Amino acid sequence: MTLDDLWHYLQGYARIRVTGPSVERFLNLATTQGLPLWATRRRGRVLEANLSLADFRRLRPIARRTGARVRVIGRRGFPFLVGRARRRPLLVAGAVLSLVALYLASATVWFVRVEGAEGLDAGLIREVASSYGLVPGAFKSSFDRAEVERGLMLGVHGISWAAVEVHGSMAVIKIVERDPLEMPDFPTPPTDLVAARDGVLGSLIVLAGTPVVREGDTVTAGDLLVVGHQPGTGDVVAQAIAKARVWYSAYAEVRLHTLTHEPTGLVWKRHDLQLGSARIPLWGWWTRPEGLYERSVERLGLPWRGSGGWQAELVTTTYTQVRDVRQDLTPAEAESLAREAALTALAGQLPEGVVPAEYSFEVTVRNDILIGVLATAETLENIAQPKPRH
Amino acid sequence: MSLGRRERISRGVAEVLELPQDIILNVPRVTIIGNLQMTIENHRGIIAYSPEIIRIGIGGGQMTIEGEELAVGSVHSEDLSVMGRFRRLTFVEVEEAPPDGRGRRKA
Repeated sequence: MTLDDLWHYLQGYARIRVTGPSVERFLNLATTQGLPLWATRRRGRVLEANLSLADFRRLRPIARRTGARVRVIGRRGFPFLVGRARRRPLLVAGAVLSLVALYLASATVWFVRVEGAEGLDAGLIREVASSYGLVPGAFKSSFDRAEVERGLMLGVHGISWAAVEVHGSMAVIKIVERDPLEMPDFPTPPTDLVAARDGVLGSLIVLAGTPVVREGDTVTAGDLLVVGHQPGTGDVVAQAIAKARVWYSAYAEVRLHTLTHEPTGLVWKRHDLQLGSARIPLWGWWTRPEGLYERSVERLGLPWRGSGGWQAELVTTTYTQVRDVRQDLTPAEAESLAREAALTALAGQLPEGVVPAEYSFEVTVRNDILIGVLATAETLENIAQPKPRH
Repeated sequence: MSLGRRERISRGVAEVLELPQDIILNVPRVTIIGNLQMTIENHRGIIAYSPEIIRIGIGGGQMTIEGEELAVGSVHSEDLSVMGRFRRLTFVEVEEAPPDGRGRRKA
């Protein structure tokens, strides 16, 4: 719909049918008289066109002059709609009522949903919210969201954050329960908080107690962070979340050249009978291992004891011939292996559930025979640890 | 001054002054969108109107639009629009009517 169409609709227009000897002349005369016609259609000797309501009366002299016969075949637009509506008041009343009902329905909260309540009772949260006006059937304007959020934080124990969002006809109460991992369990008051590890304090949120350190301070393990004492209240169980940057490091090195032994397949065996300090050759005593070999000895106790307290043993000595195998690594391969080893060692040091924010590696070469890698991981973790005051 | 000479002078003036020729020469400005819609500004009225052919008076002659399902969308004194599927557009020059009142077609 163009702007012209909208304007015509608002003004109201008539669809006319013109018959006569020269409808072209009729069209031209109407145009020169300033009566615009639009959406014309020619069917045989008949012309149909739209004409605005205001111009309709001015059409008669033109029709008379051109000998054309003009008939109105339709009336369209807003004024006619109003006219029809006047004749059907009940329909109009129904439409208005529907609009009002639609508005009221959309301005009302019909459903209240609670998200994030795992340990807490959702019914309790709904009850507290309803005391601040947030209840199914309430108008959206009848309650203050900030007030409901504040009321939930103060009224329900165990909520650390609450938000109320309204989507259409549904109000969603989002809550975050206090995380027992974030909040250390404090056994008996009064209790201080000390640093569990060395680190640099990134943020310190004190819930109870008096802080003795500030954000940005460097602390070492055992340093006092928060004293379990509050002016006016006296001794308390200190509670705080102390997020600190903590570094862990592990070192591993790999040789560029290694020498190992590999069996050649030649094996010699010799069996002896050991009686106290005396050894009696039984079999294979004539064999002489050649070259480089590895020796292993197995002893089998025999049910025979001598007067000196010794026990007879069958001693089997195995000589396995080996040869030298030299293994050379490129510096890049050695560094990669050292890096993997350092990371594995580092993973063993990290506390459970802590994910490092950043890794850094320092590579060192020692005497061109060793590649060493020092891996360092930086974490952000809560280092507050309760320490009962004695 | 004959019509041809006057036209030549007008065209020369329009070229020298870099003015739009449709204003100086009193000729129509025709805008065609594909073969579906046409707007004719500076027209002189509708001479013939049928779904197959529409003839429109313009300065110095007529223009004929031939096609299918032709219809005049809107008519104003300054411009008119034609819709439909156009097949052919022809311009016919008509000399000014002599004293006896009859025009003579030029082409």
